[in-house]
Amino acid sequence: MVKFLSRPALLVLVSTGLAPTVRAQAAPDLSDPEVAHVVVTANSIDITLAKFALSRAKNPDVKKFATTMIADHSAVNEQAGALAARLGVTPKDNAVSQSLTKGAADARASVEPLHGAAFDRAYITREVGYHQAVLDALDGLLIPTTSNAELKKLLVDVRPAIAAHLEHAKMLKASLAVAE
Amino acid sequence: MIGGGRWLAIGLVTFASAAASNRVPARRHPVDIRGLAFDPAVLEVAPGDTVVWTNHDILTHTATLAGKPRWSTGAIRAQATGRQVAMARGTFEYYCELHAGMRATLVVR
Repeated sequence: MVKFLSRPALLVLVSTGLAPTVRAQAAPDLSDPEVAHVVVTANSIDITLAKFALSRAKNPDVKKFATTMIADHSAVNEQAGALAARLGVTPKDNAVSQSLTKGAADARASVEPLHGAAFDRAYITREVGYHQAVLDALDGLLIPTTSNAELKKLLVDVRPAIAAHLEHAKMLKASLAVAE
Repeated sequence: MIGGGRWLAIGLVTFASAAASNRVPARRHPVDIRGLAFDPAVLEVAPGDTVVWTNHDILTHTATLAGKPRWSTGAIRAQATGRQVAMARGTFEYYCELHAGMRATLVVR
């Protein structure tokens, strides 16, 4: 039988804006269904912004990055959904997910008025910060907090992808700066 | 007595049999894709061998060779495999079209 226990977690979302209302607060007490909800929310946020970026970005490499974000984060959500269904778990909304959603709305509002190279730079800069924050959250909060072995494995398996996205975004950010 | 033509025929058959027995049969070489990396990072094969990539990641990958010859396994989804028969001799760097940092080398000799 699968148990989903709530455990206190050390919050380390201090690097860059994953969720301003969560950052530097006391550790949240996330159950596994709540961790699952955070995972799905975090992926969905990046998919939504990437779809917008595909319609707005000019630089072909930025468009390709957005395409990769859609494919990869969709794949993670597909796996998370399948795992939750197999375990009979319903992802549970929580303060971290709500904070992520709020942060995503703010991010969208900040890039929405931009076009051309300005949009490309803003989008990629945001992706650098977002993936760094997600990486920090995986290491400092989500992986240590998760009780269920299969959910924890999913998070561990996701980590290299997030790290690769971060490096890709950093590389793009540097190339966009050179192109200015 | 055996005529000269028959000796020639037997000689050719013998030669062909020897050549066939000396030929190394084509082999399959597994490459694991795990943690956004190809393992092994360098693989040596012979012409005619088949390379089989197995994707252990949860993301889709490809094994793609740009330039000449150009080939690609196409999308290899999670837990799926892709394959390619090595033909041209040489040292080739291939990569994942979706994750530019994923690179490995195929040596065909």
